[in-house]
Formats: sequence, structure tokens, C-alpha cells
Amino acid sequence: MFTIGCMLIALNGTLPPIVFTPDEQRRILQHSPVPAPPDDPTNDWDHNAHAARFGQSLFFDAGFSSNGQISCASCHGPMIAFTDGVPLSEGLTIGSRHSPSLLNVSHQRWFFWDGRADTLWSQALHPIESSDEFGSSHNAYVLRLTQTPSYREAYERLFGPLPKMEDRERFPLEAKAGTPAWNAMSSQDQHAVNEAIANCGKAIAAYETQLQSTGSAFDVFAEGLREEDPQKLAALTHSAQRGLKLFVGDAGCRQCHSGPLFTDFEFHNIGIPTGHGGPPRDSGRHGGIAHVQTSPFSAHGPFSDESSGRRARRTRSTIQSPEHWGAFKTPSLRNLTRTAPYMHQGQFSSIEDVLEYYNTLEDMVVQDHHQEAVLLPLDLDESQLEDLAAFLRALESPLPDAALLSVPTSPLLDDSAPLHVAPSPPAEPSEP
Amino acid sequence: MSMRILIAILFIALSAGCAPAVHVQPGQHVLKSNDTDFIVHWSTRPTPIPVNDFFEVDVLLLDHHGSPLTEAQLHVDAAMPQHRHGMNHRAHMESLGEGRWRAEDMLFHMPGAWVLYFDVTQNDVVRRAQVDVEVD
Ligand code: HEC
Ligand code: HEC
Repeated sequence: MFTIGCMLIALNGTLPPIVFTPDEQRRILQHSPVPAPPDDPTNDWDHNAHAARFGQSLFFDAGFSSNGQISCASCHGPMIAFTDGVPLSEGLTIGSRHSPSLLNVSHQRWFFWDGRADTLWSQALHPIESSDEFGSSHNAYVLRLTQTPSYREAYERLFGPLPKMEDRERFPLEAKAGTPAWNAMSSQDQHAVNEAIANCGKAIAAYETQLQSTGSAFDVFAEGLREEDPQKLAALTHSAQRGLKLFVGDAGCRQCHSGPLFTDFEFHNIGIPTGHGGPPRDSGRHGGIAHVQTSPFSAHGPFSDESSGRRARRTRSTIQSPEHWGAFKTPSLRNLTRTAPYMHQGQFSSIEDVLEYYNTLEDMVVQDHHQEAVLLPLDLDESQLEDLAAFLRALESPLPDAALLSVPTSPLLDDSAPLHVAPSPPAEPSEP
Repeated sequence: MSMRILIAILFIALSAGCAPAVHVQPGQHVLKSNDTDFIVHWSTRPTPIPVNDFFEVDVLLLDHHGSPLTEAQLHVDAAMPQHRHGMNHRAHMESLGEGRWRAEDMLFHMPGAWVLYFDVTQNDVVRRAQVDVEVD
């Protein structure tokens, strides 16, 4: 079944060239290039430039938090690939997980380490009422929009009139989902606030959809493989090429870190020792599935722009099983050079520490026989570990356009700006 | 998704001793149930099965005389026995009539050795046909 093509030789200086077999080449090319951001059918505004500009303003605005000091950017700092550089993020208090990078985030299939959000827009609603993060309420958030003229205008141009939030009896500020104050609101008022907050999430998601980072040294090398261009092949050092060979071969990394984003977008328990010792207390994907299937803001909920489509069906048909306990989403490996520390609790501070773990599986937490069984100690020597690290470092790519990395001058984009920004990918049967 | 992924499909092409009553499309695979009592014709879209991308399975169920199995329910499922896990989604099954079915939302999220299961329920009895599939 396999056609044995001619072996391609990667020339690099005067050292003996590194040879990739046809199977290795095929596997390597599965990792590049990064495609255009996919369409999210549950968000009609995901590629709308005006929505993205409004969303960018919301992203950088600390005025929405209860102490006026925390914005999305506090924990997703643009200059460090939209992460925060600490093991556990700190908003109003220190949370229980590490802040993931938002570069290329719109390609994901699930959001958060446990995938408890199934769309990018619904993810953005979580920090608002979370007591670790903004510690605010959806009512307070929407009220602030109505009281800030530029926000009000930006919102209403896109989505129509905001609810009459000034009436505090109907919209008490302390009303958060699940509280008596929220339950006392009429269902129409609850719906109006939910709709407005979902629209804000859709605008933030439109901004995040623009945070693409592609074109690493590895991508140049992959182009070189495709085009048989020795100059492009030289984009990776010899050491990184040997690391790549390990990555797609004996080290087995591509089993989970697959595709152009180096993630399968799914969940595994790789047994990382927990910060507190002992078996994992964090339910991981197990709890995430329960949440996403019942959230009013999920793809199949009333605020989705395609509540009966495939995306919605897939959330409903997701299977929860014991092996999901303590499983976390496979992170992308692009831009690791900017995103230390690593893992869901920031357990490892360097790429070397991560590789040391995979090499020895020292202190691995094995729960029971329900756990997925994929990893074995790699037993690589020092120089092989250096090669693997060199390859991972070659996955760094430029940050998005500078205009996307700070507070915009206004949430309103000038009228002449084109409506659509990011190109939609060609219609394909496949989607994340 | 420019470069389509090669897979090696290991299957037992069983030309059952009887002529099937229904024309079989080229590219289809044929399989006998574990109890040899029914026959499964199946093909996937896209072919070969991609790593970590959704695909569909078209199925035709025949009894051992080669006539369509009409009074039966089909569920298509899959697992990676070496890793001790299955798929993360339940397939969406659509009955197309005359023993024909389509399984949608199939997703092999990891490369490696999978087993594809065709579970047929008739009169409260479930019977299975299965085939090894290598995805890379
Ligand atoms: C207090 C720090 C903090 C703040 C504030 C914060 N985040 Fe996060 N963010 C995190 C942490 C920690 C996670 C992972 C949490 C988890 O998995 O449970 C996360 C996860 C995410 C994810 C999921 C990424 C993925 O790959 O799954 C997105 C998207 C995101 N945040 C966007 C936002 C937006 C938009 C805002 C503002 C509305 C925001 N964050 C505010 C810390 C923060
Ligand atoms: C069984 C699936 C699986 C395999 C195989 C695997 N990984 Fe991972 N990897 C994961 C998951 C899941 C996480 C996150 C785990 C957590 O936080 O609990 C992760 C985390 C990482 C991280 C941290 C990234 C970050 O941003 O936090 C790096 C680096 C990494 N893996 C590299 C590798 C390398 C190199 C290999 C091959 C030697 C490999 N992985 C093999 C699933 C896997």
C-alpha cells in the first residue's frame, strides 16, 4: 500500500545529511502548515472585523472586574504569547490551574484544560463571574456596557439594543447564575442578560480568532521537504532535525501532539505529579464533560447561532468514562519558548524538565486500571534529549500584528474597514 | 488538510459463498460477523481514515443469504485496545433503509491500531462484526 518514494536528503552545512524516510516525511508534513482559522458556526461574528475590534477593547479592560484591576490580559499577556508566566494564575485570588496561551486558540475543539467550554465565545463568559478572576456578575458587566457610550455604540451597531440595565430592581448587580437574586429575575430578563453577555463573548472570540501565529523555522523546513528546497531545509539545525525524527518516531510524541497545532485537541492523563502530592483531586475532563453538556451557553444551547448543527451534536454525543478522571487537554507545542511554565498546574518550569519527565516517568501518578496506557519511559540519552528540545524550540513563530497586542484606541472600527478579516477556510467535510 | 494521510487497512476480504443480492461499490470492504451469521460491507469517507479528523462510515448489512438485513439496528463503534480507550464521541447513526446505514461523527483521535465494531441488534440480541484498522 505504501509507495516508496525517493528518500529526501536534508543538506545542512558540511555535516553528514539527515535522511528522512518517506513515512517520516509524510508524518512531518501532517504538522505543517497551520491552516486558516476554522469557521465557528455557533458564532455568526467570528470573522467580523467590527466585532473583533469591540472584543479587543473588552479583552484589555480591567474595569469589568470587581476590584477594577483585572482584565483578560492580566493572565493572558500579549508579549508572552498570551500567558502569565506563573504556575497558577492570580486574579482576585490564586486559581487552581495554569493559564494557557491564546495563540492559534480558535483552532481548538474544546476550551480550558478540561474542555468545559465547547466554543471560544462561551469560554469568555467564565472569568466574569468566577471568584478567582473578575469576581463580577453578568448583570454588572452588561450595565457597564450601557453606561460607557463607546461600548454602547459598538455593541448596538453589531447586535441591536442592550437591555434596560439601569433598572436595578430588575437587574440586581449581585445576581450571579445560581444565586437567589438571579433566580428571582424574570425569565425574560435573564434571557436578555444572557443574550447580551453571549454577544460580548462572541466579540471577544472574534478578537481571539485573529491571534494567529504561524511560520516557525519548522514550517520553513516542512516547506523545504515539500518543495525539495535545500535552503529551506537548512532552517532547522541538525540537532533539531534529529529531534524531529525522534518526535515523529521512537519518542511517540505525535500520538497526542498531532496535526499542525501539535495537539489532538483531546484529553489524556499523562500522570504528572500533582502540586499537592497523591492522586489527582482535579477531575479534569471528567468534570468538564458534565459541565459542557449542561451549560446554557453550550453549542446546543439557546445562545448558539447553530444550536442543532454538527458542533452541537458532538457536544451532546461526547462520552464520559472513568479514564477521563484527571485527564487534561493536550496543549499545543507551538511557541513553548514563550509559555513557561508548563502543564495544567505549571508543574514544570523548563522544556528540559518536561522532557526529563517523559524520559523517566519519575513519580508518575498511576490511578487505576482505567487509565489510558500510552506512555513508557523513553530512556533517551543526554544528546537525544537536547535534540528533542532543539526541535521544540524551533516551533516558535512571530507574534500577531502589533495592533492586536494592546488596548485599541476605540472599540469602534472606522466604517470603511472591511467587514471580514480572517479568511474562511475552503468548505471541507473535515472540521475540528 | 492538504496532504491526505495514508493508512494501512488490514481486513479480511471475504467473498461469501453466496452472491450478494446488492451491488457492492468499489473500495468497499467486506466482513463476516464474529458468529459468521451476517455480512457487513463498509467504506469510509474520506478514505483512508484520517488521524484526528471526523469521518463517516457507509454500511450495508446482509444476512448470510446475501439479502439486506432490514429488521435490525446497527451501532458503529471503535476502540484502541492497546491504549485501553475508545472513541471520545458516540457515532451518530442514520438508517438509510434496505440494510443501509451511515455512521457520522466518527473520530480516531490518535494514530495507531484501532478496531472498528459493527454491533447489530435483532430481537434484543446483539451480535458483532469487527475489523482491525491501522491509522497513521
Ligand atoms: C485570573 C487569571 C485569568 C483571567 C483574568 C482570565 N483568564 Fe483565561 N484562563 C486562565 C486560566 C488559569 C485558564 C485555564 C483554566 C482551566 O482550564 O480551568 C484560562 C483559559 C482560557 C482559555 C482557554 C484556552 C484553551 O486553550 O483552552 C481562553 C480562550 C481564555 N482563558 C480567555 C480568556 C478571556 C477572554 C478572558 C477575559 C474575559 C480571560 N481568559 C480571563 C486565566 C485567566
Ligand atoms: C498520551 C498522550 C501524550 C503523549 C504521547 C505525549 N504528550 Fe505531551 N502532553 C500531553 C498532555 C495531556 C499534556 C498536558 C498534561 C497536563 O497538564 O496534565 C502534555 C503536555 C506536554 C508539554 C507541556 C506543554 C505546555 O504548554 O504546558 C510538552 C512540552 C509536551 N507535552 C511535550 C511532549 C513530547 C516532547 C512528547 C514525546 C516525548 C509528548 N509530549 C508525548 C499528552 C501527551
